[in-house]
Amino acid sequence: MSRNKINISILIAIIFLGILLFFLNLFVGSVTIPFADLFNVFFGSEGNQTVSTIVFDYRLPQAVTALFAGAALSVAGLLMQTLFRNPLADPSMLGISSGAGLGVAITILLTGILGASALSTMGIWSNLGVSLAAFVGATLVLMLILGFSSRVRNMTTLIIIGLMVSYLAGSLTDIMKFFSMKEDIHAFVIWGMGSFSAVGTSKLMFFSTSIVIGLFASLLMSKNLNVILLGDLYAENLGVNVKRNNLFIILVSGYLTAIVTAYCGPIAFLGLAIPHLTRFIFKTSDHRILVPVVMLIGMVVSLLCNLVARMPGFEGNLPINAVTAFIGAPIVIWVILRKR
Amino acid sequence: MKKLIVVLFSIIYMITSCNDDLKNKSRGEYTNDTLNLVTYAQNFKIYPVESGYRLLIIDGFKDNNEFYIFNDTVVIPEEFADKQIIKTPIKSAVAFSSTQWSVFQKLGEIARVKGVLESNYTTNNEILRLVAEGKITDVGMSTNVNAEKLINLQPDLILYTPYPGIDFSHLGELSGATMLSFPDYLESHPLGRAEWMKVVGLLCGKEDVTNQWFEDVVRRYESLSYKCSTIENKPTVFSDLPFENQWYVPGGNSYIAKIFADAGGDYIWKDNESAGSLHIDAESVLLKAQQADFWRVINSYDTPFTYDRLKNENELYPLFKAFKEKQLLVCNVRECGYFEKSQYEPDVLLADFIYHFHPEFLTDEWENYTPRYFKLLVK
Repeated sequence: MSRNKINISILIAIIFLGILLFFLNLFVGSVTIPFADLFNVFFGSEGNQTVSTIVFDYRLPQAVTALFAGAALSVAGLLMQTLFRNPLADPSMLGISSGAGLGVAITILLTGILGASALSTMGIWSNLGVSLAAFVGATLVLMLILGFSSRVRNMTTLIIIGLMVSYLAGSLTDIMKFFSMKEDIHAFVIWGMGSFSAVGTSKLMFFSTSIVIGLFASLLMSKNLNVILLGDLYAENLGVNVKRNNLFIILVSGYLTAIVTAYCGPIAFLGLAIPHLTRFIFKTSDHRILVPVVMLIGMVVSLLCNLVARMPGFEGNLPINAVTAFIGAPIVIWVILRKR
Repeated sequence: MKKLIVVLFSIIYMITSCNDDLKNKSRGEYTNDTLNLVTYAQNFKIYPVESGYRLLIIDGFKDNNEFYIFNDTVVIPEEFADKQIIKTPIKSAVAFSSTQWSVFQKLGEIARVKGVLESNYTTNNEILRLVAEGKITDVGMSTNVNAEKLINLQPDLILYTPYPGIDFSHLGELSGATMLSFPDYLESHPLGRAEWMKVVGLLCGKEDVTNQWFEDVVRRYESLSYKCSTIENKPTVFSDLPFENQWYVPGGNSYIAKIFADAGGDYIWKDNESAGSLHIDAESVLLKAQQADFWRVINSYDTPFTYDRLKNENELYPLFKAFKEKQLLVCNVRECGYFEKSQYEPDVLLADFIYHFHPEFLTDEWENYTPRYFKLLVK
């Protein structure tokens, strides 16, 4: 079989796996719902109201969030790895997640430390609070990085700057945590564990639309990403404005990370691992294939993680951050060893 | 740049002044305190209305914290039709905190509680048994509430502990339950914390019982603290064990600082103005508390707690006078249900400390008293 045919069969298998996992996400959770009840809420005329609420108002938005968050983080990771030509690059590298964390810390912790009424206690902030703070923090760091990227030509320098910004934001957050009352740290801890359940039905439309815009932009960049792999000089000879191109990649990757981090917390690992997994499975570095497939595999792995996090038997949901690495790392190691 | 700074300051001013407006508005609305049935607690108010009560929760996190409470048998007056109504006695509740379910338990109404959080941290036998029998469901942790299990319980009411930045409202939307904020931990007066029993009493339709209990607590607390108010020779006291040599100690305006003072003690950090906890490093604690007479310790141990064991945990401990002279006042939460019960027995907590500081003041009904929560560590 040619490589293309193999890839197509794998792709179909992955799509089926994704659909299966999506429905499993709706069927399985910490409350065990008998199959007859599930059947009724999907096909019957009068389903049990509680079952319907659990499946459609709680599990469905969570599965959809996992789907989009997985795709977004994975693509953001791919963009970073290609831009920096570094297999260890991931969306958190530029300090965007730490920036989001700092935003949350300022909203929840700093106001508490200063004895002022916490921003999070005020009207609109109480609902949007954490997400908005995370988004503002992430965007400010992103703008800072964009500012630096127009000054430095060498991408390695930018990675170092990104890491430094990340450490800086992290240390400011730690200092605030250190001086905070334990009641105030509560919200920060919850946000830091990562969860796909925080989006909920009301914010789902905004969340998914924002992600789709970013994903669409990254699809449009596929060709330019291929050119980057050839090196800056070569790219310039081909008429690509390297500086602008790089800026755009950082913007899209940062934007996707900021949105996901704002709503779901800092979710590690997916952004780093999924591009590797995809390259190994599909044996290609053509971004016209990689970008959409990375999205797809990101969705599938993210659904798998969400399923494991909510498996019956666990008291409460496991933090998604713990599950992504726990599930993802063995898969990546296994794939690497098998393909050698 | 200048313009940017001006814009930034304008935004900050707008946000802060808007906050003031909110506060003022709230104040205006709630000033008719002659009718308020709550005396010590600052974070809730109860007003009698026609055939029922108006309950107001002031937690600083949510605007719409007003509830109208009517007995199930009462025809609700039309003027309240569009209000948030709770019919009592409530049929089923989920209680996030042990300070909530413990009042249901004390009232003999625990059957109304269908769900709790963090049951693995309690040593309350009845709760553990009910969880094991499946009559009460553990719906996770306060940092990670299991929404599915909670929806499945279909509770009428969710009693939750509000924290800054955490929005629990989706749990109410999903389960259809009324969300009742219970910020008892924000109260800095011991009697204010105890008064929260009235809220649960109201929900169970047993407000007369909790009102009577509270009156008794107030009477006993006030008479004890009055006796100690003239004491001049006050022993110094400090509090808590460190974590990695960092102490989290109660602030000078905190609940426990007030009890120390009312018991005729001299709390090392009494001049501090915080009602929450202070974060202090080992050096500063040594400097201030090394010569303190008493050391209050609250912890959870499953094996015997001794001075030797403490010494092995931290080599700084033997440097404290209270340690050398074996004046540790210890409460093992596994044995006494401190977190769920002590809040409603501030008179008992007060008596515990008076017993150690000035036992001669425990007279009349307190004669032959033995401490319930804080006991002197002898060995």
